[in-house]
This record gives sequence, C-alpha cells and structure tokens, in this order.
Amino acid sequence: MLWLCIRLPQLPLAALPPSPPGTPVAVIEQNLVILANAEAAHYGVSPGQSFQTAQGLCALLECRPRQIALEQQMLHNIALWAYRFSGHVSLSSNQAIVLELSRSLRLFRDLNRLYRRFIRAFRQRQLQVWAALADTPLAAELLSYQNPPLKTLVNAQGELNEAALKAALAHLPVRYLPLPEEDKERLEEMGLHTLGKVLALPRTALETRFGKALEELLAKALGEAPDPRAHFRPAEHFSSRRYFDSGLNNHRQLRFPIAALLGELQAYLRLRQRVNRDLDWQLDYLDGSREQWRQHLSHSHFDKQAVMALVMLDLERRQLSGPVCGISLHSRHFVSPPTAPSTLFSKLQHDRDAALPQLLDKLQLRLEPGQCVQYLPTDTYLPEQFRHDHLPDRLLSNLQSSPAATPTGKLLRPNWLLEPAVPLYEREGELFWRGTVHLLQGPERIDSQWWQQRQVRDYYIALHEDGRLCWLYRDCLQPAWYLHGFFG
Amino acid sequence: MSNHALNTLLDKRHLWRGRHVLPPSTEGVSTGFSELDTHLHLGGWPVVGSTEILSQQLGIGELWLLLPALAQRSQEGAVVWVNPPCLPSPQALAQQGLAAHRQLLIRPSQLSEQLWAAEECLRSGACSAVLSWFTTQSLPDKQLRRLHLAAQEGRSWHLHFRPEQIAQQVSPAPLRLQLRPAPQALDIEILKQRGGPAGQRLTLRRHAELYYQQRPPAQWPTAHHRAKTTRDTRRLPLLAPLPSYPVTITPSSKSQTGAS
Repeated sequence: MLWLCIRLPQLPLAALPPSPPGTPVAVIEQNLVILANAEAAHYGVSPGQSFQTAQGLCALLECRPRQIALEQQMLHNIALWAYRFSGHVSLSSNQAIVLELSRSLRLFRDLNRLYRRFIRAFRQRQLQVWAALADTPLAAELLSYQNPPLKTLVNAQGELNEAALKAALAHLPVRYLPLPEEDKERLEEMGLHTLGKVLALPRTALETRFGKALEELLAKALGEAPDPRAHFRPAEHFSSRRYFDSGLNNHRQLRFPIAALLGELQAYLRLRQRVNRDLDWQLDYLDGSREQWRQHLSHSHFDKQAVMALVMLDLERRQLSGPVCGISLHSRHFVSPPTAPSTLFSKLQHDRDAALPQLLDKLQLRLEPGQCVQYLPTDTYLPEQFRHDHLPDRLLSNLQSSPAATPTGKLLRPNWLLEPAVPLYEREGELFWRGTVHLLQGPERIDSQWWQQRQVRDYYIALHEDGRLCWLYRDCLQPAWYLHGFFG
Repeated sequence: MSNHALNTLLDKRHLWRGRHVLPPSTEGVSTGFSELDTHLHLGGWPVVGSTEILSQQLGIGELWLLLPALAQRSQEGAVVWVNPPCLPSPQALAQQGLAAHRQLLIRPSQLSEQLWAAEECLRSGACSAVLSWFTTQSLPDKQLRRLHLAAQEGRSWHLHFRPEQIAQQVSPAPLRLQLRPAPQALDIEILKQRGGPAGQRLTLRRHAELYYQQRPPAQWPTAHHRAKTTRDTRRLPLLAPLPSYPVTITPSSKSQTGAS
C-alpha cells in the first residue's frame, strides 16, 4: 500500500471569500487568532494571539470569523478532484485528505510524475499544500506536518524508499502525534522529543505509563495494526462557487469561471455516473444583491461544450445589474443516463435522438413560449381539437424514436388546416373565397360535443377556381359556410 | 474578352454548364411516384441538402407530393415545420404514415428568428427533414447557401417552399421544382437539378377519390328527400362512377334544411 496525504495548512484562510490584495487578514476563532496571512504576519500577528493583541499590532487588520462549513465544502471539492487519481480517497482530520495510490501508479508510470501533477494543480489554484508519502495512512498524515521534500522519501526509480521513510518517521517531533495534550507534555518532559526515541523504548513499558492509546497509535503508524479509513463519498448534490476580487462587469469575463464550474460538474457527473436535469445559477453582486435563475437541461449525456453554449446563450439575454463578485452553480436533480443502443444498425437513429434534446433546449431558450410546439395526438372528433402543446420534458421521449406510425383509416382529411376556419360568402347560389368554390363531394356529417356545445357540421370537398382542393363545412346549427382546410 | 465575363460567372458558380451531365445515380430516396423518380437524376429526392419547391399558393398538392418520402424519413428523426402558412393537420399526416407526435412546429415571429431556427434545426443532426417557409419573398443568396450547408452538415433534408416569382433567380439549392395545379392533377416542372438535365415537365394525377362528384344538393339523399322518393335513392349510387370535370353545384339553403 502507498498512501499520500495532502494537507492544507492555510485552509481556514483559503476557504474564505478573498479580500483585496495587500490586506492583512487574520482568521479568528473564540477570540484567538488561528491563522494570519503573510501581510498580517509582517506586522507580527501570529496564531495563538488574542484578538485584542492582534488588533493592537496592526490597526488595519481585517479580522474574519472562521467558517467551518466553507472549509468542509472546499475540502470536499478537493477530495472530489482527487478522486480522479485514486478510487480510495478519505477525509482525514479537518485539513487533510488521504489517498491510496498503489493501484494508480501504473497509470502514471511512477511516483514522481504523479506527485508533480498533484502539486502543480494546487500551485495553479494558489493553495499552499503540504504533502507526504508513506506506506500507512497514519504515517503519511504525521509526516505531512513536516512537508518533507519528495526526494527524501522516493528514490530515483520513483519508488518509495523504506529506509528513508523510517528515518523521517524517527525524526518526527512527538507534538504532532494525535494524543491528549498532557500525554504529549509528559513525553517531552521525559526527553522523548521525537518519534524515534519513543519507538526505541519497550512497548510494554510505554503501555503501563501511557495506556493503550499510544501503543495502538504506534502500531497503526508502523503498519502492524489495521487502520481502516472510510471512503470519501461524493455529496448527493453538486455545489460549487467562484469569487472575484474586484467584480466582473461583462458576460465575456464570466465565461472563464462558468467553464471552470461546468468542468467541475462534469467531473462530478462522471464520478457518480449520472446526468443532471437543471442548473441553478446564482450571481452575487458587489452591492450585496443576488440574482438566481434555473436553467433546464434535457441532455441525455453531459457535453460540456454544448452546455457551455447554452449557458452563454441564456446569459446573453440577462442584463447584469452591476459588477459581479461571485458566481455559484448548484445542481440537485440527477438521473441515470440512458444506455446506448444494443445494435450497431440504429447508430444514425441514436445520433439523431441524442442531438434532439440539445436542439430543443436551444429552441426553447431563444423562442417565445408557444412558438415551438409538438402535436399531442388526442382522441377527438372535431378536427381542430387535435391540440398542439408546448414542449414539456415528458414529451421528449415521445419525439424521440418510437414505433413507426402505420397509415390508418381511409377518411379523406386535408393536410392543411386553417385556424380558425374562414367564413365563405354565398352569392347568387355560389360560394366565394378569393374566387369561386365548386363543391365536389359530400357531405360528411360530424356531430360532436353534445355534452358541451353541440357542433354539427357537414363537410364537403370543393374545388377552388385556381385549382386548389378545399375542405369546407356548413355549420348546421347556425347556417353558415366555412373554409377549414386544403388538400395540400 | 466576352469569355472573361463568362469565366467569372462560372468560377463564382453562378452558371452551370448544361452539357456537363453526369450518369444517373441512385443515391436518392424514392419519391413514391415512379414517374417522378425516372425524371429525377438521383432517382428520387436527395438525402441531404436544400430542395426548393416553387408554387403560387399552398394547397395545390405539394404535401401530397412529399408525404411518401416524409413518412419514410420521419422514422429516422423528427420532422420540423418552420413557420408553415397553415397548420399541418396531425390527423391527416398520421393517416399517411407520419407519426403525428414526431412533428415539431416552430413559428417564430421575426424573419431573423426564423432563419436562426431553421439553421439550428438543420445543423443539429436531430431532424430528418426541415420544411421551411419564410415571410419574405426572396432571401439573399448568402442565406440560402448557409441553409443548404447547414442541411449538409446535419444530414438533414431541407424543403424550402418559395413563391413562383423567384423561379428566374439563382439559388444554391441543387434541386428546384415548380408546381402548378392542373385539372385533377399536379403539374411539375424540374427547373434545375445538379448533374442532370432540367426543364422536364410531368403531370401527376391526384387521388381520384378527392374528385368523386355527385349530384346537385337538390338531389342529395337526405332524410327529407328520401321520404319523398324512397325507391329511387336505392338505385342511385351516392358516388358517381368517376371522373369528369366538376360540374357547378349550387348549394342552396333550402335543400339543406332536411339534412340538419
């Protein structure tokens, strides 16, 4: 087994929304400074000082309360990201994650390459990170406090160097051990400043003085006792956020953070093997106001490029009401992606069906509601009541491949319907509508809706003088003639 | 020097040499009318790209001509109707084999939106056929070309319905047909087809059932009428044997009273 521990010593600071550059910032918990940034440290502010002392040292100090929830969120996101390197990721204490790497080594060829990729990713995000490799998770956790350089633990072939690891552990100060404070003080009073000195003592003697806890700890660190770690599970909902120091003013500037958020979502979806139904966006403006909107997706698979185009299309229609200082993306509803077709022959069909949801999303976004409709076949007697409807999500499956329709019935029905029917003029025994109309055949009686407003109509096929075949009816209840369609 | 102008036109693809006739191919999809298939160079409708249908008005049989092919294509993907002048009747389409629920009807109000929607549908690859009408008489050549290219990219058949007046204008559509009504038939003239000869005219007979003619309404076998001449009505067939050119029938409200 090979374990990598990633520790984020600056997490309480990094998780907070950023301050303008150059500001001295301290994170305060229970009236004590727990972390100060470089600018604050310059004035002498350091962890452990009281809030008043820190304020005395630096009048401009920005004191911000610690936000555990944001830290957890950030750690989760990092664990999610780390999932692509290893199937076994676990959250260790509040500021670290531990990964099991032995199975991923073949993919990355050797440890050096893998390690470099890790560190580079954190450097790009400007996050300070400490890391250590060991053959047990506890040893990796303990060593990560010292952030040893990679070359002290790994040999030139990219393999873990057992001897170096032992030496590094032996030099580890006992104050990093997860023990009660009084135990650590007693160890130091006895002159046992490093782990090596503790390990040199007989275990039974240690047990009589310090109890079982220390003994178990040492066994776990050395790999003599099992140390099972709970697997990290991705959250049920996706939620991520980006902050900007000095506000973004136009859509083009938002493009980059949106792409990054969608990239995160894509990784999350791949991990959970799900597709999502909607994106909940929120813009935080500098003046404190917010704007939220939901974007509906009907994709059968998540394609970042296509979703990006949709989001930008949607965003273009929105007016930014001021400089934007943050954007967040949430997604709550997920469904399993449909399975690919089992036969090769239906590939064209499958491609068309896969492209359809994207097309519908685009059309619905740009067109007014009601300008894009799908016919709903209904059982009805009056021709105009074959209603059409807007395109809700549930109809989508309908529009996709379904058993082919078979020609039914022998009723003579026109391909074009006029809505509403146009009144015809009757003059000297002839019917007129932009010219004379001659009846050819009929009538076909449609008597319907006696339960509401009864409709009795006699339908005729007629020939217009310009050669068109028309469909006319005579309303039998209120005698009048109407043109209702064309045999196009 | 005169050749120079000609060559410019040829280079710009505004002219097409009639003698460059390619051997007939069979890439097309059968129209469902064997007579038309033989005249079309591809042996049927093209699979992708623009096809222009020119006619003076709607309702002369243009859908009847296209429906056999559309019914076949609707099994491959959605059929989109962009801005049709009337509502396509789902009942009639279903009767002729077009799955009613796979029809998508788009009616944007502005021309720019219509063009956008048509192009998106064609390019998406989701639609097997797109039928489009535009609210303007003639579109710029550039727009027509864009639509044609979008159709090729999305492997979609673009049916563009246009008024008769623009028959003399150039168009990038590889196939252009002009439709005119004829007595109980539809006249088709092939204005242009890529790689094949143009100018053929043919007449397709429409369904005879539509033209069945019957006696004047005064003699219609209504209840009122039947009461008077019971014996005669049995002998008289409701539908005349067929087809003679329409006789003017006078609808009179008097004879109708018996029917209601």
